[in-house]
Amino acid sequence: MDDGPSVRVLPDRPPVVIPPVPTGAPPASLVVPLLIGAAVTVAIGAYARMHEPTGIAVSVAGFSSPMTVKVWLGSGAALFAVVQLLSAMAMWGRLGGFSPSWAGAAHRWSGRVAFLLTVPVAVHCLYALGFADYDARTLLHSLFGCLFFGVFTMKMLALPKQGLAGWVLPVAGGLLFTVLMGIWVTSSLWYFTTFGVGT
Amino acid sequence: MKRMTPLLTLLTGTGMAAVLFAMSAKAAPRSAEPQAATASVAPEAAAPSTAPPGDAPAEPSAPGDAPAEQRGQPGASATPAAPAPTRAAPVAGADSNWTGRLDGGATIAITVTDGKAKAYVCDGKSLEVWLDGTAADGRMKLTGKQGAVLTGTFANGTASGEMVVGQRRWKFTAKQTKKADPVLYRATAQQRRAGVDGGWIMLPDGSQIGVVTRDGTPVPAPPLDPAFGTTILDGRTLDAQPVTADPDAGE
Repeated sequence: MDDGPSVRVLPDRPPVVIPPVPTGAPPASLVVPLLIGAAVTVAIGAYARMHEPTGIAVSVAGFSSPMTVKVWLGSGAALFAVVQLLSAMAMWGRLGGFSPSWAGAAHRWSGRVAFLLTVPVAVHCLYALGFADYDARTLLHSLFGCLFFGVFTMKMLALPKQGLAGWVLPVAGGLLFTVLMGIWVTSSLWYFTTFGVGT
Repeated sequence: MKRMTPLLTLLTGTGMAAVLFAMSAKAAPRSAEPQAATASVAPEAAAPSTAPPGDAPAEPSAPGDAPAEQRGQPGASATPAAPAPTRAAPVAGADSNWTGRLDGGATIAITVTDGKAKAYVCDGKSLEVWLDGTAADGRMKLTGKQGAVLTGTFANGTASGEMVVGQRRWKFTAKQTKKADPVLYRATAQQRRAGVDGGWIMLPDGSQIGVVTRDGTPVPAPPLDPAFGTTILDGRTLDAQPVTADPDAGE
């Protein structure tokens, strides 16, 4: 009984690989996203440094106390960043058995919201204040701020790529989270501890 | 489609930033127009600008409340599209605010709370004088450093009188502002401890004028963002707070 043919099908099966990496595809290159991300970081930093700060930018409507607009928008972004961290951990199975099907959607939408919350804050910082190195806090804040949008751009450009190494997105996401938290600590948390929350 | 969404996110953010930048550019300050003609400023009048340690307005009171709604004002005339907040902010209890001119060309602002008054006179270039005192029953009397004395009367939304510094004498007239927005800002106590003082007058037409003194040298103040109480001087952020004549502050 020659059952060889039926067996011979098996070797044709693709080798078992880690799911996120499709077989055959050449390893996706991060060069372009990295370059563009770096360019964004440098461009923001350069603009912030060269542009003469006006001290005044457009207001953000809907807040009774515009002085705290940035503080609260930034804190909102930080909150959504925590959602980002948790949903990402769920997606990657790092929350034990808790890995709901909607974790991916939650991750995407909380990310979009967090990003859009940061934009008005960044615009005000860039337009009205600029890159500051008055002290360690403002310097760190300025550096983190430039870095954040560079890393974000890099991650957005890397996301659609097929066949990324498994560590790329977690590292990029972790970096984003860390940088955003750095921004928040050097601005909003500083503000709360200096001026109080109730203002 | 799925591959597109991160790019859409980026584009959305970029577009949003672009719109905000455009609106900011429109809302950007008209330069604080230094009012002309102050060649007559007495040298001794320019001196009182050194930070007086005991002269602090002493208001740790919420810096976030008072400048509220002032935002957008500097550009309000240029940008009808910019959200111009209209709700009247409860300005730290100021009963009335006055802005006007001295006959020498300098600008004056007076803020009154419960009979206590604070005034600031500056020419936008090199002269600034802070004064403290009282304003009640139609009369005001304030004093400042270097023997500066301001006396005047007020009624029906108009105040007038004179300020004397040394041998110099200026007449002034001022009108009560219709809005409750603060008219006076001063560098925070923290800034003054660091050797930088500054005052800003927000005029009803949305323009502003001010003088900043650092290391004892007065210079024209960079425009202050009243919403955030910040401006930039020599690349450094400078913080200011609305000034109120706090009746509780035992000056």
